[in-house]
Amino acid sequence: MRFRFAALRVIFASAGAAIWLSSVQTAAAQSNDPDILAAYAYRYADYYLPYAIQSSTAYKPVGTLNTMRDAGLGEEVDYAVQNAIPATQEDLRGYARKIFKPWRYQFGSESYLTCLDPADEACKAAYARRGWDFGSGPTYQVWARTRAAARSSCSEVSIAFRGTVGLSGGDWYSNLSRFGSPYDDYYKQLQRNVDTIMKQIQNLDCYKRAARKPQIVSTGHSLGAGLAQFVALATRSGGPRIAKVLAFDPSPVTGAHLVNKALLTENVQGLVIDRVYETGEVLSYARAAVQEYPQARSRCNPQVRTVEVKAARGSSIGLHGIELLATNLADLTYNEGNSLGYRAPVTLVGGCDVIYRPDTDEQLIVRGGNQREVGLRRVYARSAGRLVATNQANPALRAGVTRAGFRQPNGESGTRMATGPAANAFALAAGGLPSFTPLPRAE
Amino acid sequence: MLLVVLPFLPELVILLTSLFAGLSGCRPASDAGCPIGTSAAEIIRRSLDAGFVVGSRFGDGLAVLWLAACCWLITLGWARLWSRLLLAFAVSLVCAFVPYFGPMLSISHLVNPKCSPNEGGVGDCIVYGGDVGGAAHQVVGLGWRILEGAPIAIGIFVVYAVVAVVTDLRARRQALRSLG
Repeated sequence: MRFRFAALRVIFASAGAAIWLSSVQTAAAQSNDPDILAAYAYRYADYYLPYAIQSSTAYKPVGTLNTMRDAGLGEEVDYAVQNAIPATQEDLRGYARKIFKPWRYQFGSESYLTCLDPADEACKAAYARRGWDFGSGPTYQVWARTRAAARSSCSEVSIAFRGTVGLSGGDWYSNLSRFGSPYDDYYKQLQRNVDTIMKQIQNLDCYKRAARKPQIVSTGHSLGAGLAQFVALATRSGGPRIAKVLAFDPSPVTGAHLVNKALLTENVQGLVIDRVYETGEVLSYARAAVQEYPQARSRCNPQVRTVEVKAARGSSIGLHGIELLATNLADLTYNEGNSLGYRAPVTLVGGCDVIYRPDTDEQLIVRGGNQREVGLRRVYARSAGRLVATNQANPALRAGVTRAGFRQPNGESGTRMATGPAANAFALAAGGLPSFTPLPRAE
Repeated sequence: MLLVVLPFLPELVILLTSLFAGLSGCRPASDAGCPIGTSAAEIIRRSLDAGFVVGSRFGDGLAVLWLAACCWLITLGWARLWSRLLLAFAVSLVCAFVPYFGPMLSISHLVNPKCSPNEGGVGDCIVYGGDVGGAAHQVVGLGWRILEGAPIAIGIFVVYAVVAVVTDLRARRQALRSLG
């Protein structure tokens, strides 16, 4: 009888301790200090929305997109928007359509990756050493942002990776790749094929026709975001690199453990990773606890930026969906029917140079120019008065320096300066320019 | 046994519903409704919601109390150390995986071209003529909660095992002393 009572006490004491510890962990996770606070996310919604739409469309069959591409009518734009934003939000679909218009689907894959280039000896050697396979592989779709002035060339190419599809064993084993997997999971399949994918991108017509080399970025949702980070870390040296990763609700697994240290060090130079998520989504706690390299606090090489969107309530799992995030981003791009315009987050943070430069394509500028002024006028009218009133002695703020999420190199949070009331209020911070006059429409 | 099965009633309901639907000649990919109760799709949707709630609560910490209760009953019902440890291990394994993957696995045979549950919440999921999309997508995301659930289950088992072994050793020593 003594045994039973003793065991019972210990078990219930453990239970109490576990519950207390889990609540402490949650509190710790919630105190995470993101680079772009939720309150300021609307400023960059226009910038992030196309990538969210691509990440959402990655869940749809590649074959459908191939058919639309071959038709050459640009139907994939509508298709992608319809998949990202529910039918009940027709007005938001309209906004999203305008923003996503320059993008065109190029190619993709949803099958098991052996070696995309049969002549790639390194890939063949890696394939020979592979673990068990499931017959399934990473799904990715490559999109290109066409230039307004010259539709045949592109300014940016994006690889969008799909997240977990319910009952795919390959997807779930890839999610657990961090713990060592005997399987030929998606990270390993991509590792041996990433350079061929980069070559395929370089062979795109729009890429070859571009006067200035298009930037290559990667994006994805959840598992897809983990894979997007991985390809940026694993691209072999010598060829073009991924300039930026836009990771939505990312998995804590980045696959960095598979990449050798020298290559990792090379690939993170100047790399930017934006981790965008809805506040409280299920993986935010996992990232706080078991995030694989690079950590969220990494300020340089790579520069990791956390972008928190707080536009919904619900369960942590309900908040994890990309459809929800894309819809909220679309909603944030407009204020009472007026576009808030395009603005990219600052690229030069804390003296850390990066290879990524936001797109300065004229169509984006035209779309974001005058409309932005109208849309932002009301928003800034509310916040500007308050900021000026509380920061009278702050010349930097009065000068209108935008440094959302700026942190001091010593790790302390710098003053989280909101956009200044005057000069920068309606400026377009594309390409790091402090102010901009919209160009006339090119078409 | 009942305590172990109880949290997984929603999955059992889904399996039974699809079994009856199959026997009634209904096909998961069909656009026509399947008249079992209100409708097979509605039963499955509600069961998925219930399974989601169970999994979420387990991840929130209910697993600790549930496992503690199971361990307590094992202690009361089984006298031998190895029996207790084996049973506790089996129950912990069930608790580590099934609440989070059970609902998703229970609809695995219903996946069809009109239903592809995913964690992104993208697209519809039509089963037996009804849309179970929201619930089906949610139970995929539930799988991620294994990151919280598995450590809880393993932790409770380890604590129970240590306590059971130590107490068993003490009881044996005392028995030897009393004999000596």
